Amino acid sequence: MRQPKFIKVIERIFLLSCIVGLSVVLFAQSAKPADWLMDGGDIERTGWQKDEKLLSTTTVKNMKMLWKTKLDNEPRQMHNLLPVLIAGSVATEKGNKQIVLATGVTDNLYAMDADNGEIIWKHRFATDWVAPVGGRGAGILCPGGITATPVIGPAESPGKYIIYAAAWDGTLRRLDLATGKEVKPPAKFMPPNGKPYALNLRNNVIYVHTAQGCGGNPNMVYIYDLATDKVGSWGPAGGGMWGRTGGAIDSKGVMYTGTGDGPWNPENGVYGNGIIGVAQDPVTKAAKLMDYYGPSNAEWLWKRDLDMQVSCAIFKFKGKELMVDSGKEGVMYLMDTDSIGGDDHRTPLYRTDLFCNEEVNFASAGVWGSLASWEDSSGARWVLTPFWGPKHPKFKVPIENGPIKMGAVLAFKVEEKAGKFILAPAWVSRDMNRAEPPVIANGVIFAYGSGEDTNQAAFDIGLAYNNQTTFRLQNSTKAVLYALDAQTGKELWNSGDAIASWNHWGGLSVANGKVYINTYDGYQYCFGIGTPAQSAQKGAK
Amino acid sequence: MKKIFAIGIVSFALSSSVLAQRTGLDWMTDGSDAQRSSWIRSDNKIKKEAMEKPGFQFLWKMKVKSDPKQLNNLTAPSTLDRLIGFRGFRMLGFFAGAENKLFTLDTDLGRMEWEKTLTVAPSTAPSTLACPGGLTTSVARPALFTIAPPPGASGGTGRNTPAKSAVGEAGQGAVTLANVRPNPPPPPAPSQPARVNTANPPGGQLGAGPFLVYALSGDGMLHALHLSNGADYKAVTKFIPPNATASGLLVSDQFAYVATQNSCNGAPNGVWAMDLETREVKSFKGNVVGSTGMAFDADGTIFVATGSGGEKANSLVALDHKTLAVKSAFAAGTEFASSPVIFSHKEKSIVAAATKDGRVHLLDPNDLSKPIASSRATLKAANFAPGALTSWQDVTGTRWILAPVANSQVSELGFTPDGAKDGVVAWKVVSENGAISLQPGWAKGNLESPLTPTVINGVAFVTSSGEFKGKNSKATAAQRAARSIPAVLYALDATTGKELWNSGTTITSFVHGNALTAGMSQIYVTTYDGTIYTFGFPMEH
Repeated sequence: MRQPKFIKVIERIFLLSCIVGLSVVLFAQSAKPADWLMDGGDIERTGWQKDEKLLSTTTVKNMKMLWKTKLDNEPRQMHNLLPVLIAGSVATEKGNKQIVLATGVTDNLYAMDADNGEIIWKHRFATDWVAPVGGRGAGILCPGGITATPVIGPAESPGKYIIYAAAWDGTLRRLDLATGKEVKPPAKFMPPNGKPYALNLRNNVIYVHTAQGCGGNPNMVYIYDLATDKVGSWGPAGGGMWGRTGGAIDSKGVMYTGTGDGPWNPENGVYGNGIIGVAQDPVTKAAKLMDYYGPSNAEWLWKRDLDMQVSCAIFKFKGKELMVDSGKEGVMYLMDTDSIGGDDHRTPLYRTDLFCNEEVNFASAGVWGSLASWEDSSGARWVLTPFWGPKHPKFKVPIENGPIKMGAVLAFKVEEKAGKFILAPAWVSRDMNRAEPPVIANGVIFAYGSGEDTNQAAFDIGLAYNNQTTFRLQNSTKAVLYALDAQTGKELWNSGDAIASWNHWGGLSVANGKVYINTYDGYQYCFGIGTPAQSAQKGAK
Repeated sequence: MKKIFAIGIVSFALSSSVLAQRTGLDWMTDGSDAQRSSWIRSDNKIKKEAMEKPGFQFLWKMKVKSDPKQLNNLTAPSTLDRLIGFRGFRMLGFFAGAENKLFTLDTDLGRMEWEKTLTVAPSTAPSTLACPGGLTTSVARPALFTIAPPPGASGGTGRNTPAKSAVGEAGQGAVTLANVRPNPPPPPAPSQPARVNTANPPGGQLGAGPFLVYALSGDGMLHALHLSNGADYKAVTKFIPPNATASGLLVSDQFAYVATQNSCNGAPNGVWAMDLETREVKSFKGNVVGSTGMAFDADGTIFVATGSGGEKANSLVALDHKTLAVKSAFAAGTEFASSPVIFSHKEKSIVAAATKDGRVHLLDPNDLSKPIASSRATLKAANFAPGALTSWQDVTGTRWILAPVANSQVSELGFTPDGAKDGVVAWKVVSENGAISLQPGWAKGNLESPLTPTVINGVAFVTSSGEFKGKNSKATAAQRAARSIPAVLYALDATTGKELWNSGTTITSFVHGNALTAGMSQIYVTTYDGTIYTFGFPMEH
C-alpha cells in the first residue's frame, strides 16, 4: 500500500531533523575541550589523552613553548610542583575558561589560564608545619606539605568542578575550581605529616595510599566516602605504596597498587614487594583487601630494595580487563584483574624478561613512577614504561632508537599467542636522562628526561649523599621533553634547551594541543601547537 | 626503602655500635669476631630443623685469578650482609689472594663487585711452607671488642606488621588518627661532638659506617680501602716487617692488630698494634701460636697464646690493647697449641686455649694465676694442634667448645671415636656446685685434616679439608698438593654431632688454612686452586 504524500514529507523532515540533530551533537562533542582531571589522566592511570585533536605525528614537529609561569611555591627537599590537572571548560565569572591547576608542595594551589599561563587564583592551606621528629623526620623521602596530586570531580552544575586535595595536615579539602574558594570545611581524613600519593576519585569515593612512614604514620590505603564522610583504611603494607600517580581503579572499583619494600608473607597478613587490590565495602565503608599478588622472587626484591613501587595501569583487551605493573627490578607483569596472581597469588598472566637494571641498583635504575597504555586505530594495545639506566644487554627489542645510557621509554604490545596473553617488546626510545612516565595523545608519545640526579649513595660517604640534598641538587641538570612516534618510538621533536631546570616528582599532563611540564625552580611550562602567549614572549612572569 | 619501619630505621641509624658491626651476624675477621668464636649467632634460614630437610645446597662457585704461594691461596672472606652502596644493596664477601690481590664478591649472585691488586714493594725473600710470603691474613672489617650476646627473641620489624581492615566513625577520619601523637621536641644537641671512630669514620651507611675494609699486604703495609669499590681511603702505612707470616688482622676503633709467626725473613714473632691516628706501631715479642692470632675481651684486653722460646713462653698472655704491655700471664708448663677464644659464661668472660698435651684450659681473664678448669685427658704424644677453637652457646645456655683433632687423639681425649680418620670434638662447659668443668660431648670422625669448625645458629659446619699433612717435613708444597684430596663440607647438629648434610663431591680441590666462613644463610669455602664455593638455601633472583 502506498503512503500518502504528506506522510513521506513528514518522514523526510523527521529524518533530516535527526541528521541535523545528530550532527549538532557530534559537533558539540567534538568541540568539547579535553580534560585531564587526575594524575595519569584517568582512574585506570593509563596516561592516555583520548580526546586530543591538535597534536599528531604530523603537527608535533611545530611544537614550541607557548608560555612559562614562575610560581612562588617554595621547594622543600627536592620537591616543588606536582603534575598539573586540566579542566577544558570551566564556568567562571569571566566566561568559560580552560584552567590548569598546579599544586605546590608547600601547600599551594594555583589555577592558571591555559591560554597564557596567567594565574587566575592562588590558595594556600594554612600551615604551622614543622619538620616532624618521629618516623623518618623531614628529609627527601618525607618533605611534608602536599605530596598527593589532587583530583578534580564534577560539581552539581555543568561547567563547575570541585578540587579534592589532601593537605599537609591530613585533612580533605574541597575547593571550587573556578574561584579557589573552599566549598566545605576541612574534613578529617588521615594523619598529618604523612606522604599520600595522587588521589583517585570514582563514584563519589576518594582513594589514596601512603608511603615511607612519614610523620611516624603507617603506610596505608585510605578510602573516603564523600556521601557518609566515613574513611576506610587498610594496611600497613611494606615500605609503603608509592606508585607516583597513585592507585589505579578497575571497573569493579578495586584500587590496585604496588606495596613497596618489605617481606612477602601473606599467611600472616604481610604484603611487602607485591601488589594488592583494595576496595570499599559498600555497606560498612571499610577498606578491604580483595586480591593480591607476590612475585616469586619477592624475597630477592626485599633483600635488594627493589620495590614494587610503580603505579599500575589498567585497560581492556579482547574482552578482559588487564593490568600491568613494574618496579625497580626492571621486569613488567601482565595481570588479569579477575585474579591478578592466579590461584596461588604468585602467577601473573605474563612476566617479561629483565629489561633494565642489570646492576641491581636500588636508586638509579629500574622502573620508577608509573606506566601508560593506549590503543591505536588498528586496535593494537600498547603498554609503555619508562626506565632509568641502561637497557639490559640481553633484552632484545625490534626497534631501537640509539644506545641507552641514562634511561628510555620502552613499548610493548599486548598480544595473544597460543591462547595466552603476552607483552611483546616493540620499540625502545632514544636515551633520556632519567626517563619519566610518558603520556600519549593522538599517536604521539610525550616523555621526558627529568635531569634529576637520582643517586642516593656514594662510594665514600654512603647514604649521606642522599641525606644531604645539596649533592643531588647540585648534580641535577635540566629536563628535556620529547615527542615520539607511538608506533616506532622515533623522535619527532624535543624541547632542546627551552627548559632550564630539572624536576623531581613532576610529571606530564596533556590536553587540547598543549603539554605541561614543571621544574624544581618553580616554573610551569606549556608547550604546544600555536602562537606563543604574550607572557612567554616576554619571558618568565 | 620497619617496626614502625621508619622509627626502626632511624633508631638503627643512630646506633653507632650497631653500624660499626652488626655483632654476631657478619664475619669481621679471622674467627668471625674479636673473641675468635667462629660463631654466627642467628640466621633466618640455617637451623637444625631446616638442615634436616632438603634445601641447603651448593649455590655457586667462582674461580678467581689467584695463584697459590706455597699452600696459601685465598683467605677466608670477611662478610657484610648488607651494604647500601652506590651501586645498590649488596651482600659482600671480601676475599684476599696470596699474591696481594683482593676480590670482593656479591655473594648472592656470585658476581665480582670489585677486585684489586695491592701495590707492594718487590721482594726477593725466599718462600717456604712456613714463610710463603705474600698476603697471609684475611681482609678485616672494623670490629668491636664487645662480646655479642647469644641470640634472643627478635623484635621483628614494622614491615612485618599484619595489615588490617578498618573504618572510622563518620566525620572522624581514619582509625589511624587515633594513634597520632604530638610531635615530640627535638633531641637536645650534644654538648660536644661525638668522637670519631678512626677505624670506621662516619660517612657510610645512613651517615655513619661501616665503609672501610683493611688488608695487610706481603710487604707489611696496612691498606685501608672503601669497601664499596676498593678505592684507597688513606695512604698505605707500614705496619709489620715485610714477608712475615701474619694472622688474625683485626681493626677496632683506634688500633689495628696482627700477630706474626714462624720468624719469617727476620720478622720477629709477636703481636703488633698500630695507632691509626698517630701511625705509631708497638709490638709484643713472643712466639705466638694458633691460626687466628690474638683474641680480645670486651674491655679490649688482648689474649695471646705462646709456644716455646721468646718472651712469656708456653703461656696465655694478657696484653694492654694500647701499649701491648704484659698485664698478666698463665704459664701452662707446656706449649700452647691454639689461639685463645673468649666467651661470656653466666655473665662473666672466660678465655679458653688448648695446649699441646690435649688439654683445653678455661681461665678468668682477670685472674690468670690458675685455670678455672682444664679438660682432664691428656695425650701421650703431646701433639695436639687444633690451631683455633670454636665456642658457641645453645638455646639451653650450655656452652660448647669445638676443636679439630687427629684420629688417634679422639679416644685419648675421652671421646667416643667416630670412624677411622681425623675429626672434630666438642666439649661442654658444665657448671656443677659452683665448679666449672669441661666434659666430652660429641665427636665427628672420618674427616681429612679438618678445619676449625664454624657454628651457625646451632648448626656446626666442619670441613674435611683434604690437605695432606704427612710427617715428611721435607715434602714441598707441590708434593703436598698432589697428595691432597678434595674437601668435603659437613653440617652437623652442633649439640649432638649428628650429620645433617654434606657437600659430597662438589668441591674438587683441597683447602688450606682458615678457609671456612659464613654469614647470612651462606657458607664459603675457598680452595687451593683459587675457587670460591658457596653453599646455602637458594633464592630466586
